[in-house]
Amino acid sequence: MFKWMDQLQIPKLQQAKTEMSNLLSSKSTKEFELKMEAILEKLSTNPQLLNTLSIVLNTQSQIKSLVNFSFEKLWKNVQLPNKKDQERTLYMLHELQFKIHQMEKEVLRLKRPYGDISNINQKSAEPRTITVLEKRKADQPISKMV
Amino acid sequence: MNLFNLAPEGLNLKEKLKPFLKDKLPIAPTPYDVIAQISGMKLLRFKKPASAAATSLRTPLFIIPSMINRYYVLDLLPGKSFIEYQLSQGVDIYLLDWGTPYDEDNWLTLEQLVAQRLDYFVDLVTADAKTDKVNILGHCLGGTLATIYTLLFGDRVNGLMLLTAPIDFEHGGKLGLWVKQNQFRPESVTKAYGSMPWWVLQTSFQMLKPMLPWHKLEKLVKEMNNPEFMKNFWALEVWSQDNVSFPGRCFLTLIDELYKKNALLKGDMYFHGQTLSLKQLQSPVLNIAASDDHIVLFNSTMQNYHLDKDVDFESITSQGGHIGSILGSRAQKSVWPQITNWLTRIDTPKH
Repeated sequence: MFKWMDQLQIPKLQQAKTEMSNLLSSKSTKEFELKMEAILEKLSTNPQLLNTLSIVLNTQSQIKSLVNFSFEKLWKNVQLPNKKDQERTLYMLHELQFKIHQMEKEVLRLKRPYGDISNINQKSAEPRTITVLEKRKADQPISKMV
Repeated sequence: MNLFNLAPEGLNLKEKLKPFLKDKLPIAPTPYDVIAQISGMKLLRFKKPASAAATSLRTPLFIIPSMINRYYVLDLLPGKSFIEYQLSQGVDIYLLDWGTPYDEDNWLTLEQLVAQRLDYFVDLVTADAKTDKVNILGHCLGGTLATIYTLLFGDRVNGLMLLTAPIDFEHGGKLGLWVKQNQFRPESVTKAYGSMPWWVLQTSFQMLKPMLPWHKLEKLVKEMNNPEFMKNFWALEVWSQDNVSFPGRCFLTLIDELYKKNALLKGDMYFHGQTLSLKQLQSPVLNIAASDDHIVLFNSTMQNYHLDKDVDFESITSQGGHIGSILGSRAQKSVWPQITNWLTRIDTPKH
């Protein structure tokens, strides 16, 4: 894939590649790697640093929650559903459809004569189309509202 | 990406880069049909090549990939694809592509995900393959979900295969240490974003081995003139950067019940009206663990003493890291054929 580098036949580029190779395999580089690895290992398990990073993430999330909340209020004031309402509605629709599917399975199980295990999957052999769920395309957002 | 949410739910690198890479980097080469789609989740049925073994196994293989990355690490490149290999051996393969979660998926609980959605997809697989049971292969976190599913609906699972899947979260490694920090409050993040954003997950995974980019650079410079290496390297880079967000409520259960309480192993997990214990597992189990895995430590994968002594349990230890143990040349020569042998051994006649 990177044959173009050689094909270019630029001496300086070839030289840079060789120098980079030599530098990376030199003893001092190996020492630097080992020391750096030890330092980063200590840092990544340091409770104080981890807690500080968590606080940064929490604060950033809380600011975003506040912005979301303001927009939700705004939409509510103009009596429009916000993004959360729409998400929840779609989620409930999914839930309803799965409940129906499970009830259909249960009905089928109860209908079979006692001891009959033939055609156990007959009903589910017809994949049901989930109309509500398939209407929206993969990259289409639910709404542009918050 | 919608208007007020600056973080998209996933990068979708495979889709975005496809027009540019085409023949140079044919990622996810195996053709498939989409059988069903529910929000971002798709059920894929892979097409067998003409050269596939004449006799195929009766029970189909249903693959549940990890929810954090995309599925195509198991179908990376031609000649380096686990799926392509198993198809050529006569295994029918179905796969649940988690895709990029939609906004409404953030309300989904882990219980609903396993007991409703996974069960629905298994219904479709059994119906399409005209069998009563499936063999399930769970990769990474998908393996944890597959184990929970098998505990709930064991009568539908012919065999359970776990590919570097965490089960004992007491040995969660650095990830386990991080989530147990006092100040780590995932609920504040999921409240703000709905999901656990992909960029938080990606940063965390990069922090697991902070020197990895440096080592990659070293190898890149050394192997620059090796086209085969470069092809594999870039394909794997595209995959490893192609993270997706994790649905919010599912993530909270994952952290609280699994990482903090280790409820699955302790037998304290209450799901779908029953308390789950690994001792209830009856299906044959094949566990594949990686010797040098820094994401799912060897000790955190399933061991025979977690299960009832009568369970048909086999374990394979593959040399390499989290991905190298599945995709490496050694894995291709020894682990992939062992998986096919195991599938053949447990294959049951059609009812």
